[in-house]
Amino acid sequence: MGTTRFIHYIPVLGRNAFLTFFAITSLTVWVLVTTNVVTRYAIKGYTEEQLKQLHWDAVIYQSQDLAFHGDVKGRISKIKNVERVETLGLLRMRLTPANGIRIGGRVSSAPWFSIVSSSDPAVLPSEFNHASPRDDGSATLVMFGPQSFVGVYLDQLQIGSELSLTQKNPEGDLQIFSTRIQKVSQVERGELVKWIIGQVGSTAYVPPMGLIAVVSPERLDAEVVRLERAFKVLRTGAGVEEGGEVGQEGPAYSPQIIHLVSLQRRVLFSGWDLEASLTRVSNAVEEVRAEARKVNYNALVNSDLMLTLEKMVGNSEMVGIVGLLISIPILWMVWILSRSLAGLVSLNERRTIGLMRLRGASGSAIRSALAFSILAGGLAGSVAGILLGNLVPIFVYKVTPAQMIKIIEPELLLIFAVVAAAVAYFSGRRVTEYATRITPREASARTSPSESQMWSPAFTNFQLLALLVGGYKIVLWIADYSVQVSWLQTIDGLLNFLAAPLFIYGFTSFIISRSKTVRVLLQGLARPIAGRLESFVVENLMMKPHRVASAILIASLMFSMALYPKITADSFQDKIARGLRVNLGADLVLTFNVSDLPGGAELRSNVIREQVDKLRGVVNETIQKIASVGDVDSAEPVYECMIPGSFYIPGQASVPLFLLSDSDKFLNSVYHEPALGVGKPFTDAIQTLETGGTLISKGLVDFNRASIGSELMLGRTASREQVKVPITGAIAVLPGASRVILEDREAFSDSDVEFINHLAQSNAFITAKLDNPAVAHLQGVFSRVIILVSLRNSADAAVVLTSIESVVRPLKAASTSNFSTQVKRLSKDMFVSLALESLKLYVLGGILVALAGVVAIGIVNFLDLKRNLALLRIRGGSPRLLLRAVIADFLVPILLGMIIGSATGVLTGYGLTNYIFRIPRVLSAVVLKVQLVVPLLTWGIVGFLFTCFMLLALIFSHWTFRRSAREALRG
Amino acid sequence: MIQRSSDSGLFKHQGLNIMTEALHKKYEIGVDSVTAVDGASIEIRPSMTAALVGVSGCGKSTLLNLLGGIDRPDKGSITVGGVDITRLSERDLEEYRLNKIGFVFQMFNLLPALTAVENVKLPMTMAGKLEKGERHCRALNLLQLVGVEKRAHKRPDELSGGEQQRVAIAVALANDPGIILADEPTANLDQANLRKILALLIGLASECKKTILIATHDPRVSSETEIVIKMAEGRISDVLKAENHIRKLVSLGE
Repeated sequence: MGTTRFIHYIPVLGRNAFLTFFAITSLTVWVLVTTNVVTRYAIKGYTEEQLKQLHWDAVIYQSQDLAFHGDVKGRISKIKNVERVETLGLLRMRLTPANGIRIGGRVSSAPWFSIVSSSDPAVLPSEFNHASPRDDGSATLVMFGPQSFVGVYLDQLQIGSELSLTQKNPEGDLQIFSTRIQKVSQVERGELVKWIIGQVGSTAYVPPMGLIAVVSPERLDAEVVRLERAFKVLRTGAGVEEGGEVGQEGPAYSPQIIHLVSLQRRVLFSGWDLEASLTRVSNAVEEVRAEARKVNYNALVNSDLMLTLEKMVGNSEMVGIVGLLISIPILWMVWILSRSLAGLVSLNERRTIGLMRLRGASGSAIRSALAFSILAGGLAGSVAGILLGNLVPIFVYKVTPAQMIKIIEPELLLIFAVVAAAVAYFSGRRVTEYATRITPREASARTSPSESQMWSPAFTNFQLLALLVGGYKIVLWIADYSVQVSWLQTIDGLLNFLAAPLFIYGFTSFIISRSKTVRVLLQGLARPIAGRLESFVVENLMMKPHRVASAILIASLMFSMALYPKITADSFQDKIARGLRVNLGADLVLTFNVSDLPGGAELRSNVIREQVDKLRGVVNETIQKIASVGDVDSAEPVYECMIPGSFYIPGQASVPLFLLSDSDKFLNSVYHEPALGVGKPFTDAIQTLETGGTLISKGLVDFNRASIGSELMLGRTASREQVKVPITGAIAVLPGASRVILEDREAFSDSDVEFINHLAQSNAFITAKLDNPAVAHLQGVFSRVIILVSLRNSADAAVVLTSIESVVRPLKAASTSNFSTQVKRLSKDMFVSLALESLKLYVLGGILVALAGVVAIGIVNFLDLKRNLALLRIRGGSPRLLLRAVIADFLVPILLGMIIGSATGVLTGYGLTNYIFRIPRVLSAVVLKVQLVVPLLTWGIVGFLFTCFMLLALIFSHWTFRRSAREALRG
Repeated sequence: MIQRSSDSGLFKHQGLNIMTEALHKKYEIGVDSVTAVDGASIEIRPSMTAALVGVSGCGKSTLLNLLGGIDRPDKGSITVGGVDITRLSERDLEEYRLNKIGFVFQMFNLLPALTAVENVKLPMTMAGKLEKGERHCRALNLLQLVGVEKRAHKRPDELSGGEQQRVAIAVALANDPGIILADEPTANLDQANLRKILALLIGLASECKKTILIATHDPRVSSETEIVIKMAEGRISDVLKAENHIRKLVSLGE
């Protein structure tokens, strides 16, 4: 037989097969390649955005031999790929009875003092700017802390006063540092913390109040040896007990020179090639470390750039794997599309094959010709898809060809091409097998046996398994439960990506196998569309169960894929926003330091009742003033009192006790959700306070430090008697009472989700009523009064805050937060946003594939239907009636798929959100229930897709408008 | 040959008169123009059976299409039951095809997705005149009339050729048309089935008073009709009474 013969058949039989499978594979590979490139582009963009937040690429902490800091800087500057090195001197000290600050001859009450200097003034906050760049021996004095502390200096300090740091010695005070104050400024503590985080990339303890002397670098150079020695002596010789005072705990400090290093990012970093970038950056950082240690062996080197890149490399691998897993539904759709198109090719080529068989062509030669054409089409399509997929980003994302060469991953492209060609080949076997199976007589006949005779829609064990496994996972999602058995967890994790398509496949197959059920469903949907031709349409659809099943399956997958990313994203963001709302507690939160309140600084007693008696009047007055401001709906205070004791959480010197003045008012004023209560709704838990009970935090429950129903040893009275209170409940979060706000995140590269996690971590705290007699004699120190302000609808928090500030003056809140500002800072979690971006791309690709699949099925159906429509036309059917029949024939299976897919999409979206919150990285306000959010856009997507299908149906039905019935029959 | 149903009351409409005058129809096939019907004038009285005979391509099917309102003539008139159908709008022509004409084709042209009874019901459903139950009842009665009531729930591919053609006749009768136009209805049938179908069609005229026009090559068919209309190159070459037609055939030795 020859090869010759089979090759000769290709031009006759192969054209349609080649073009069809070329189209399928090019579309498939294009979607896969584009998605891969775009995902990497998203990671690149995200990484670049993260790196923009990093001021310095490496930070060297020199805590010894500070005199040689110039050597360190010099050596580092000479390293290849080091762009810039700046020096920041940071000599911090806790002030104790052993040392002290005198300003203008008067002893300062400041608990903390620091000398700061930088080789580049731009590194310092604007408040630090030294007025004179010359080394004239002067300093800028920067203060931070409550008004009661700062105000004293602002009122009394004279420019030109002397500041001196002295060490007390029996022989007489020893002056360590002295300077003339050339300028005085004030900085918010929060800003100071942010500045330190911004420069060195990690958090540093900054006490509630302190003084900073900013000196010129020359001055520091001149005095650094003496200061280093003196600061070390003071640190080790003062005998300070760490953490010994309520609310005053903090580390001992070493005098430090911090070298801030910028690397040549343009040379070292490429967002397209994170792994190579990480290698280059690691090498550069290692070189920096080696050089620094040549001068100071103990120098520590941190590189946020390296850490961020390490994190992003890990992320990109994970996102890649997730992306591939998510592509499974698309490949599934491609498979169904290929099978449908194979059916179309069979239908088209049947007569040609028949005639060739009649004239003696061998089945195997025909099969070889078709298989060759299909495979050639598949491979050519893969190449076209690779080219298209790589070219599109060049234009869309303005990637240069040189970058493109870096982006291209030959191994991955090869995998894509092989997968697509395999799909083409195996789905094409339907055509090749048909070509050999068909008899010459059958092939040349004008009609073929009905599809229902050829294809029995049995519900196989595999389909049952798909339904059970997919359904099981969706139920677990919704029930918010996951498998605990370790070896099953991998499978369980994989199912997160497969559950929806498996469920849809199983469910669709189940429905199709129940002919009575499917008939009823089709009738219900066809009736309003097809009108009098309902039975004709339904019977026609029932004749081709395989195609109907394919259309339902494709439409289900498409609609579920189109919906669940958006539902997941919005449900996720909704929970995060609610977490933030719970954290803030109200629209507007004002926190007053007790020491700033009138009489607050003079509180001499540690007994709670005595302190409350003094504070309550001023707090109530403030509340009334706030409540009088227009647009304020209500205002409610929460008193924070620190109870000394270290028996609750190891390492924690005290436990905050939050005191509420009125449980009902509190519940009415703050944002809360039932799930904030542990074991019982939050409202019920708070109301138990009225009975004299106390609520413990989830943290205490988790640490097994206390249990509900038992008695809690809360503290001691002034006469050292134990104060025990009944524990009537537990709560996860007390809205508004968090000590941490959004700005306090540990690093800018942290996502907001992680921050929310941090907020919701198991903090230890206790809640009680202000007038609880059990706590009246307890010893504690009031630290803050938090006023939670609810606003009327549409009130502008910033405007209301200005009004409040004016009515409460001269009182000034230590900090204020409002929901509308904070919620804007909730941007995106990296994992979630990247995953969702990828999902959106897949959705786009999936919709393209699905549309192609549905169109293919529609064409096959229409070709089948055409002659029947012509007969109806001859028998008097009006074009309008036939139009409705065509639309129904096309739309009814899609509508059924839309219903199944939309329902699955909503369930999946809800379930996946639950799942995301189970990921260890996203612990966030886990106590809150996920609420299903179906945004308007979801309906927009459904409407858009439906409109697309409607248009397609109209295009198909255009034929029925032909003028004469005879044309219809001929057509 | 018609198996009369007990009622019967199946048919309320009598056959219609057909009259054409100087009918012309041309088709453009590529750059060529073919005259399919060239000045055809015929008259068929109500309840008459007529055969349209002639060689392939003489214009028989075109004339049937014109009479059935499937196509429109270029010139001339067609009056059916006193109405010139060439002046009807497309919508009215649809009504005409739906209610006045029953078609029977050589290839049966039953809808493969529907059972025999569903095929018969469909024209009634399209016309929307009867209730669902009445449609079903009438469809079964029509199948009984043509002798295939036991095969009512079979699909076309489960029926023999003769059975399919009987069902096709029931479909044609569904809306009680005045005229049955049959295009080579026996061409795909064996001798026994030919006789049955022919008897059925002739019986429709004699017992149900329908006007029957059959396009055929087969002298066994044309010999059974009342008149034979001969066509050649688009023209009516002769109109004979059946006995004269047979005499001619005998003399020609056909």
